[in-house]
Amino acid sequence: MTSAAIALDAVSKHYETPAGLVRAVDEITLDVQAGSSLAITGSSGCGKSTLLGLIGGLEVPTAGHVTVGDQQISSLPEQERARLRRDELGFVFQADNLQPFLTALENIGLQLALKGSRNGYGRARELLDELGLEAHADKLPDQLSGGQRQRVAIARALVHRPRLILADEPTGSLDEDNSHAIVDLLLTAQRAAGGATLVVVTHDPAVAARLGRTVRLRDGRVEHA
Amino acid sequence: MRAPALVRVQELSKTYREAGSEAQVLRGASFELARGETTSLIGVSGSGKTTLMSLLAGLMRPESGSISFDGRALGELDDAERARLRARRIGVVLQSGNLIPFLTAAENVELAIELGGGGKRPRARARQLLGEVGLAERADHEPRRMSGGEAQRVSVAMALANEPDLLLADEVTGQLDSTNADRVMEVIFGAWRDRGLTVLFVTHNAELAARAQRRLRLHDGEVVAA
Repeated sequence: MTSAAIALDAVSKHYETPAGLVRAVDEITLDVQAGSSLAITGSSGCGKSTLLGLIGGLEVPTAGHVTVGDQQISSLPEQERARLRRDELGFVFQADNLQPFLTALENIGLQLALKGSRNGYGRARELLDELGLEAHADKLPDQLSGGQRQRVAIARALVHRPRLILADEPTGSLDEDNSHAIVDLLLTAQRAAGGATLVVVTHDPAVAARLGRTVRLRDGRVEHA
Repeated sequence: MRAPALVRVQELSKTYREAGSEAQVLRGASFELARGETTSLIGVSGSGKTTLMSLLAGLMRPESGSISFDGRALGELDDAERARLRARRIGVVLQSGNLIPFLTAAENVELAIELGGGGKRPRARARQLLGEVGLAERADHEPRRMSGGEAQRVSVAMALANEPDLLLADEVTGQLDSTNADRVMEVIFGAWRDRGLTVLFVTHNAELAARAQRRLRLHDGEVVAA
């Protein structure tokens, strides 16, 4: 039996703007199998980042339902949604959003600190080693290259072993070599023991091609699945 | 009589070197921040304001000169000691919020509390701090559901999380309209009044700069009275 890690049921996100109604996401229905990987592509403004935000519970749909695992994230109270995100989801964005005053190690460990784990840094160090960044553990983000910073951001997303990894243009500001390495890391995490589901928003066909399946959006709708 | 200085900066120099070119942004900058005073710092872009803030926050080392904080020379601290000082006694707010996008406002503030050593009831304190910056209602919202001004107020709450002695604010209203900019500055001035903080803020805005008790200008790598 396969179970869906993500189920979107006629999900829409509409905004009222001075210029009229914007249908950022328009009645999307989509299942993503647990343990699989999916690319969401499309030109800029097609709604792909909004869709990822809806899956991760960063945004609430105007209509429809989003289910992650066995929980309908779109109708959870805010604090429950925050807990689900913190415990079970891992996020990576184009900008690394690292805390500039914290070292690489501290940035990775902070997710665990929030969960009240006093000794999260052991696991954080382990990940730094796996990512080949052990020599950089005590450096500030400013002292790292773009590719190194993004690897730290990925370690931060993985440190609590999430079952769903959501990445929004994770290679958007990197060159080809770094980009390839970042996708390697995401795929390794997806296939690691226990397995995770991976969803990547990308405008880069080379990145999309490496994932199990691609969904292309246009004007907030699925163009071809 | 003036209170003794909390921060004493002496003859600070910093040069950026890149393949074949050199830019000396600070050349012997000296000044003091008096305890409990608000100080503004203006200067044209590229004049080294942000460099100076990074040095004060202990994020960067000067090539010469010294900074002392409450009588302790930053240059004599190792990385871990500097990090501890920053986490517990210095609050920093930057131009664009450094909020973690997948955490709520309350979680972001709670994180700042945890990083400073935790203390009692971090969750309740995070909410109390958000109330102080006028965002009690927004505690469970994610940064992307907030306006830029609200996100900046969350950043101020984070900077205040560990009861710092010094608040450094680097162009924190640079990307806001005047209404939102005013609210952010009100929150900073309010914290100064209520907590007896020492505040240094960098701004492009002359009107804002004039609201500080002491006004400095960074000019040709030196700090002078504005």
